[in-house]
Amino acid sequence: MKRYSAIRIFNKAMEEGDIGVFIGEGMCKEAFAYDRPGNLYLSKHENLLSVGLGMAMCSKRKIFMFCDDEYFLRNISEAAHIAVSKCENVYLVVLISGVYTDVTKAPTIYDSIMSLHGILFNMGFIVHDYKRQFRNTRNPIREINLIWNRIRGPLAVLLEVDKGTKNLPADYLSEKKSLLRTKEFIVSNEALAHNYEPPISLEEAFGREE
Amino acid sequence: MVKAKDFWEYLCNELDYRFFAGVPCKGLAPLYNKMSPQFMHYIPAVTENIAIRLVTGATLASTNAAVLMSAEKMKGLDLVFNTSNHIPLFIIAFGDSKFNTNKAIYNLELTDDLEGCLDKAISYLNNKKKSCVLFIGEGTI
Repeated sequence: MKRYSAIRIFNKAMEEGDIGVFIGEGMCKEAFAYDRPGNLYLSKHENLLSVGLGMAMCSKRKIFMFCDDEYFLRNISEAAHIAVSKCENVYLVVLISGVYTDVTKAPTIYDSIMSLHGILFNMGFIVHDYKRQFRNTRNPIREINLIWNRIRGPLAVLLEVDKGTKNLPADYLSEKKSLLRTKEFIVSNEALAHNYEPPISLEEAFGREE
Repeated sequence: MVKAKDFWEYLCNELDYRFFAGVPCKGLAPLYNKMSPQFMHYIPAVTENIAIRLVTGATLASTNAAVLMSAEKMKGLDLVFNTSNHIPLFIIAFGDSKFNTNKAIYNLELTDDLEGCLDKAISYLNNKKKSCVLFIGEGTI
């Protein structure tokens, strides 16, 4: 499956009130083709998974973070933070191509790692790999939507994708505009948050001392 | 000298700052000793940059949040994301204000007038929408 198609499927599998954080230049370009009000495009900085985790800890919305293996391997300590946070509304989706997709197509160390699934599981994630499950399904949007609606995080989804990318213009929302939109979206009542309690109830965690 | 308990009581209960992330340092030990999950939420981050991003995420979700760190590590901070996108940060740092070379960040030093200092920092954050560092010198807490 091409990364572009995988992003399309995952984008549509999210609920209306969910937030999708897309990290990396190529990922942002491809995701913007299926833009949703809850999408956040971050491409220029490091440690961006932590921004998603910070949002997840302080809101009831489900936060889906999408990155490639290049970014993931570079910032693996952030994944450990997500796993140990035990946030039930945080989902990490890693689209693995095994190469530096946006630059030279030179290989990453992914193929040399014995089991990325094992590493993530031992960190504390629930790990899903949809490669075999949807081998014969062309558009598993409904199936993935059902899984994502029922499962609680921290969930890590690993999906191997083709090395190729779609040639799209880099006209996606600027970081500034995207952040402003997300800030308004999080507190907006129109697109309601998923109806469940956050891992640590806000009243409980931030409640005033008696 | 300011008492650590009074510091948390004013910051958490009066100013409603209850989400913190940071990397521990020796100078802030009195503050760490008086932390309690009953009135605040603290995340020990792997690096200062991760702590900053966590607080940035919390700020995006409209929660008052702050970073705790050593002033010596200010030089290695990646604050471009916050300054270019106008996301104000509240940093509580142990050490001297000379460590902050970033002119986009407002420097403030904690004195015996705890309430005045914290009020000044918070009003700067809220009104100017720019980041602020509250430096805590040795022996102040």
